[in-house]
Amino acid sequence: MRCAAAAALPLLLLAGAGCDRPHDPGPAPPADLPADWLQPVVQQHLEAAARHGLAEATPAQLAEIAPWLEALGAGGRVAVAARRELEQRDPATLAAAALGLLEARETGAAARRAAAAWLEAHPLEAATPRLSLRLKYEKDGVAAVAVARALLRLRSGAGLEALAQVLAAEAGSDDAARAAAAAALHLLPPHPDWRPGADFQADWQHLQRVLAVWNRERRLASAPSDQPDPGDDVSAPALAAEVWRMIARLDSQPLRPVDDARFVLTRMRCGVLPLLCAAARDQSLYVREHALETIAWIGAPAGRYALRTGFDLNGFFGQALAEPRTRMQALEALGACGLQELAPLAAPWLRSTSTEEVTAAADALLRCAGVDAIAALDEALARPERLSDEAHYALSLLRAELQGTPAAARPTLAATEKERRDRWREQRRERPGAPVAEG
Amino acid sequence: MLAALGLLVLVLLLRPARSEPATSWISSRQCLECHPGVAAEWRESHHAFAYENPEVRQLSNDFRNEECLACHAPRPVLGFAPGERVLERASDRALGVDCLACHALPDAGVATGNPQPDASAPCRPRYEPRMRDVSHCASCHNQHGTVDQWRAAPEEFEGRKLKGDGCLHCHMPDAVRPDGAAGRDHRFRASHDLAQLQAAARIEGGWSAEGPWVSVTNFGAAHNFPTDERSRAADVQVRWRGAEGEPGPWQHVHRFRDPYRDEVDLTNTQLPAGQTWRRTLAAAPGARAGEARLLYRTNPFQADDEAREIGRVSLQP
Repeated sequence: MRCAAAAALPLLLLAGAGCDRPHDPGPAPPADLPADWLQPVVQQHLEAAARHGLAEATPAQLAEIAPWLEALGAGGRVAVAARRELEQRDPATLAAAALGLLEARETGAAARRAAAAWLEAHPLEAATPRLSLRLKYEKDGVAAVAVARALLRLRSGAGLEALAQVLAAEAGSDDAARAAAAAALHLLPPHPDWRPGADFQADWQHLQRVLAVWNRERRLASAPSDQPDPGDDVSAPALAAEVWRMIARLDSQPLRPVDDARFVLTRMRCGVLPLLCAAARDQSLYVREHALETIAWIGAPAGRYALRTGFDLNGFFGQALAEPRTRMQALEALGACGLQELAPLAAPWLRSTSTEEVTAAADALLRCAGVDAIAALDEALARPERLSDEAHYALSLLRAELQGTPAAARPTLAATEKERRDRWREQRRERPGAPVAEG
Repeated sequence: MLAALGLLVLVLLLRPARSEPATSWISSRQCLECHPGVAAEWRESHHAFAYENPEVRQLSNDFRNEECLACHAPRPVLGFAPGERVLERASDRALGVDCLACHALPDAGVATGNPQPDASAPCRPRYEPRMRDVSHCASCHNQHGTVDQWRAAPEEFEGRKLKGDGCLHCHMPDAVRPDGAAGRDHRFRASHDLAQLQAAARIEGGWSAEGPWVSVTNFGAAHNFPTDERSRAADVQVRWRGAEGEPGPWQHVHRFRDPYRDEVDLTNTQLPAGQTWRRTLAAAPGARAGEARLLYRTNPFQADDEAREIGRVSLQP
């Protein structure tokens, strides 16, 4: 009987194994979500911010303010009287009305330019997010340049691209905007090799230098730096209130407000990162998802911000990855930050039962991992049947990068998906912590 | 040995019944193996083409405008509340709006709109009423208001039922495949299909005492014409014939379109369901006759010779 039972044991084991799904991928990574992880984060911040930020101007206020702002451009006594009238008003209320005018579809070109010029001359930090958003829609070149100048005065480089575009346009296309953009360059941060206005070529090169630093670090400076920068900060109550209002748009069902918010938040100084990490714990799936996605779109500048400020991305992602519904987005954000120290958090997800999570983990590792990921990489590539085409190619590229082996894509991998991963491989050279020459 | 076999039989009999699918559904490629008829239809559809479509890639800046990804490579819609928008997936994006996008259940099972599913099929399909409801399509197709337009449309127009029983009525009609299998047509015919366009809108015209006139009626689309993406446009054009009978160049008369938000000088001119747009025209000097046509463009910059001509009408006194 003992002998018969022993003979039956493999059969019993086989029968039991039939209950499992094929290709059991092995132990799942530990993923304990704290009971209080999800919170009404946005609602709490909006309530706290209710006393701060910019008031919404009413249509009557917009109609009342428009002639005063337009009168500023008339010159002479009319302009002086208008200025005197406007300067008696509350600056925040006036800025809100000027922004409202600038944002309204029906505002005419003259009033639009006058509103932008007022905001440039009287920059209010809380207006930074909505000014940045204007650049997504503003068609009038002069008004767009005034917005970019206002942003420069507010230590934001969100308008640098717009200035460069206006300056690069062919002469004669919009000379007034070009002249205003050229005059804006004296607002750029100084550099020992640059004298503002000395010659256009030098101005242009300096603009490109500052733009490169902005794109790399979201700091308005003429040289890269790994030192903390007071310009990172967005914690002033009025500005933070406006940032939270922008984050609240991530919950929208229509995508337009979501896209507007992502446009702004990815162009803000990196002080928005702690706010976005807080939003990644919101009760709304959409807020969590898009907050993480926004961090991913900011990418390496967020990683550099964490390095120079000591912001604990490791702790954040350690917890965020425990949230199953947004794990893929957390992995994408982790990888995009480009910090090698984060890679050990992503590697265990190569063993996930979810193809989507394995793909996201492989992509994250391609973007941030170093040689310490080789063991996980080899283990995953040893079971290629568990890898999607995308994950297989991402890991293949990473191994090529780390070990010099040739990378191979499966024939079924879409060309566009291959290109995306090839681009990420190229971007590894720009990861935070990688040496960079001054522009 | 017999005892062991008996024990094995007992274990097999006492095993919990397998209510879960026979395998795990990780890619729509698995579905295509057992459903070649549906697969062939789907491959013809713009759902299959949603991610690779070069026109979409151009308009979305090669998906650098990642907002477009959610609907062009979505996660399973059934993982979200009815009608709420979807989010994008990480793998198999090239399959666009694939089988799992519409059929995958959150518990890894497979949903069907068939009230009597074949429970013996390897994927163990389960009837999900939401599959037949407009909310299932709304997750993507209401981003530009199409489902809201359908809800606001009249039930009937010109004595015939207009709204049908939802999106499926026009876009997934009943179909019998070459192998005899019945189901719903997975080609999702819509604005890329001329017959579908002609079943939605018609152009009419003539020459009355006030002069030549032209009209367009949305008689068959139970939503605006054109609808959905703001890149869609339909144009009315006219050309005149003089005494010699030679036609002059086509001239623009009217555009039906919902503009992008940054096109601040334009308003929404889409034609709601069951409504007619009509205009009296000023004929060119010396014109004895003319003709008008209705063109459909999948993007507003599409050239005339690439647009689809829905209809043409002659204008004669």
